[in-house]
Amino acid sequence: MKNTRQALREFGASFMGPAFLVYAKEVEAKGAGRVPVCLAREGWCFERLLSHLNAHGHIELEYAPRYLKVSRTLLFRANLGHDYLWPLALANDFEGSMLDLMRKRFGLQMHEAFSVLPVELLQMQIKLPEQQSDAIMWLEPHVPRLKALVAPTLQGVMAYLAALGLKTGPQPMMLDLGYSGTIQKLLTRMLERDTHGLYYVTTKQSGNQHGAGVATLEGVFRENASWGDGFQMLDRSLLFESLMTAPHGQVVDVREDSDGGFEFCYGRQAATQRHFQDLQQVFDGAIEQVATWMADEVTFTSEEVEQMYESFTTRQGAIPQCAWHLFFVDDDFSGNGILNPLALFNI
Amino acid sequence: MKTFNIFNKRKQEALPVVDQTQLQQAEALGLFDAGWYQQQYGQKFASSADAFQDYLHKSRFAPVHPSPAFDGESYHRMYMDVFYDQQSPLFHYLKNGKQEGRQHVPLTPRWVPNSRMPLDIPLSEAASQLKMAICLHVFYEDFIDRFAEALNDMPINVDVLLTLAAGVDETRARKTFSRHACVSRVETRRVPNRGRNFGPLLVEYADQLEDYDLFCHLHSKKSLYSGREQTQWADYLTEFLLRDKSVVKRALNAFAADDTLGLYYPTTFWMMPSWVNHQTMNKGFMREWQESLEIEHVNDFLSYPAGGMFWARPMALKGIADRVWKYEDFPEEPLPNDGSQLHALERVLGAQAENLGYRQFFYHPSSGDFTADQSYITASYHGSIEQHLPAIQSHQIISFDVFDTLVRREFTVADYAKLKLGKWLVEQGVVTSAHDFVALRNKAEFTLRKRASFQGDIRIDAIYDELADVLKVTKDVAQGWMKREFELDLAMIQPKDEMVELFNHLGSSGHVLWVISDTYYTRDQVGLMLRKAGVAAAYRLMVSSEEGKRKDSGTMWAMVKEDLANEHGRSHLHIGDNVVADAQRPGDMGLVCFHILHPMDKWRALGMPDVLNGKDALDEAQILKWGALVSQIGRNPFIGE
Repeated sequence: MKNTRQALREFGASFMGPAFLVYAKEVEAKGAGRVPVCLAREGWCFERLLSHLNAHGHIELEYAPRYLKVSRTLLFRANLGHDYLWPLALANDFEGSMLDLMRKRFGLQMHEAFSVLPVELLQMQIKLPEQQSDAIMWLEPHVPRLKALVAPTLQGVMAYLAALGLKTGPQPMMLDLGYSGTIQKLLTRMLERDTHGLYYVTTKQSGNQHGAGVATLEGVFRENASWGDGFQMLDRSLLFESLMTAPHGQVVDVREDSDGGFEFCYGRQAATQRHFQDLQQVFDGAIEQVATWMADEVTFTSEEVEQMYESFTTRQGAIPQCAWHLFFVDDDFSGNGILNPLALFNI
Repeated sequence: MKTFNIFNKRKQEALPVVDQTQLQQAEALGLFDAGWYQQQYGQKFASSADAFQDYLHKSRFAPVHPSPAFDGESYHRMYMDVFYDQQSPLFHYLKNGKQEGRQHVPLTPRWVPNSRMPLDIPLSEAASQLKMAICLHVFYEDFIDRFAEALNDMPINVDVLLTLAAGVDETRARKTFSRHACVSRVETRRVPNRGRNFGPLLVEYADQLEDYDLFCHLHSKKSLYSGREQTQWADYLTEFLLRDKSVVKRALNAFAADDTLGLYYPTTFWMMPSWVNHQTMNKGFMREWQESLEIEHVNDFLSYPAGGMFWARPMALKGIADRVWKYEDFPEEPLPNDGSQLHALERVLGAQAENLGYRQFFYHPSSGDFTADQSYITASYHGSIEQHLPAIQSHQIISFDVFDTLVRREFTVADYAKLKLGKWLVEQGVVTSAHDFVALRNKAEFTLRKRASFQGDIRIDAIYDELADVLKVTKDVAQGWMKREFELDLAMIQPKDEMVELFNHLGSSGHVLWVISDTYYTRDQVGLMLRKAGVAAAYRLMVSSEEGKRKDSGTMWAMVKEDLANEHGRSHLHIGDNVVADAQRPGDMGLVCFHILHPMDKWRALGMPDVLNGKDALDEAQILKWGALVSQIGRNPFIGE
């Protein structure tokens, strides 16, 4: 008695649709003179949403949205060894060995780590963010070797950004779920220009200088939100994050080919990637619903979107069984491996 | 899913004597764990035997469990003879069940509150200062002793305000409570048989309630739900309102610590039908209460002290508990089983407390938790069709409702097709307002129903003939509009996919299928809607407009029952979403029903925004915004499907 395709589509419409609608309208409103840059992985469905709405005349974007295959891990790797990276890369929770940190947060392979860092250092245990200064101190002597190791990645990312035309032309408007804009800040420095970020939620609104550019962050549903304050679109954002992913998973490396093309490397796949055909139904249902609403001039307030998200993420049984297998998220970044947010939040 | 005949005559007054052999057997089998039991239910016992005795007592009427290895509620539900016989599940299992090959399952919580109130078990200083009245309405004299016994462990002294029905010995009542160690003052009033329990309480004592911090109301009247005495229900309520000292102390602590708590009662009796937490037939009376108490909106599914027994802070029932009442304010007996001012009053208590800014809180006997989480009211709708399939398939004849059972509307709102037609008629210059047209069209329907003295049902073509007279057009023109209304509705008809699949599956596995609908649409029109929804199995279609009978009045069910008498004992099950028409009415007539959630009920049960109420119900912008979401979330009628 499982009507899976229909169930997935309608789940997508109700779970993701209202937030998509509000977000897409905000992208349109803030898009003048800017090119929407949909950051991987969440950007994968944003790019499809915006392209669909734009193509069907539901919104008008001055520039076509672009999908940018980046991740925190990729940019951390590319910028490894630079002073400006440490506050961004070592501020989030982590507990484990330095080897684990190098692997999981900076995307180094084991042999890479061992080739540039002493065994004694790799075996040391570290707890972040408490030991951030220790980590910097320990890594400092090895910076030249680290930079040399990741130089091909840095070159690949820079070439990729240039190939997409992001270093010149209209200002990039980075689109992502949120929250502190780490990717945007690093891209701002690498692009050497001002960027605007439009997120579901921001934890800290800022217009900080990053190298030659200023990264401005804006939250559509809430700004300056804090973890643990009971705002479920942040506290239980893992549920949105689980679904809002790309079929290829996390980008961990990019290399420029000799013919000017690019070769991407991806991290391990979570269930959402393995069952991407189901996730596609969820996205399609949501996008189709948003298009219908836009045709009918329907709008939602942020409060309505928040209330629906809270209901879905706090009520047992609100998320239908047909979608349970999609709720897995790769949290290797924090050393947690694959997480199941439904189990984590006991829903 | 079934309207159980759950109550039997009270078998025994005294607590069961602990059989040491049984206790040892239970412990040896790992089925009774005194330590776990004590921790789970927050009560200290001097010995395992005392804990076992407490379990044996409560488990006869409440879903308490002896250990994680034995689910008492499941045992009672599997073996209704044990429940009817008011035996403790584990007691029965050890004495007879094991030998008989009966099965038991490990503890499987059916509902877990999403928030718990961590309350101290020792009475707080503030709680010990509470001034409390116990308001008891005694219709059956044997309850004098039962209530007095239940007060034995009351941790604070109370005043007892009694109302005694004719024939109840007033001297005995006064003497019993006057001598009670926990009672400071006793007052008795002899009362007429009017207003059930609420009339005597409010007429006699409303003027005194404001002198107390709290009052607790219980009554002895043994309702005859489904024709049998409900002593287990009364035992359940008495236990968790008065008798269980651990529960009582924690409840008093909660009231003393939190001024926003207004009403307390245990979660609805566990063996009641799944739809009991609903307005049922009381909507009209509920509206009257809402208007007089200025309550803007009350959901169809609602939390209320089912059984009319509760604790309240008098201020939380302002507007009810502080009015000057007289017996003439209440309806005379005999009253129906459901659908009266009094049945509505019971249901409006929680709503009024919340209307005044107070919260309700509950004791959940199965988990031993206090909580303010109201989702228990729809807990029985969690699950999936697959879970219920064996029970459904065990019947040979299965009938289904149509709207919101087999088919749904794209935007949920039933009148949206009429509004669309109204908009079209505005464009044609026939009417000036789409909403006015809907009102006219519905009025024409009402006129016909009234003309027929609300007997039977009417067809949509008759409605449009009537409308032709009202709008001064030919009947042919009006019939064209009728056709268009149907087409507009048909265009929005979608399958409830899982339910249609169930229907077709049952058809292909040899079940006899009936489809029964209360509707103004003709048989052919309903048939076309079912065809569009993919209903392919063979079925007999009964629609009220053609049969001249209705489900919600019971006449259709009388016909169904007659038809079933010719089915040579083949068992029948009805599946539908309307609490009254598809569950309560047929249940009252002894038919077996499986109630499923209406999309809007599921939407509300999930705590989604309060939408499509009042004037929003026919606001097209609101319909377009929320209607599809309600329809999508409600497509599958189970929560957590």
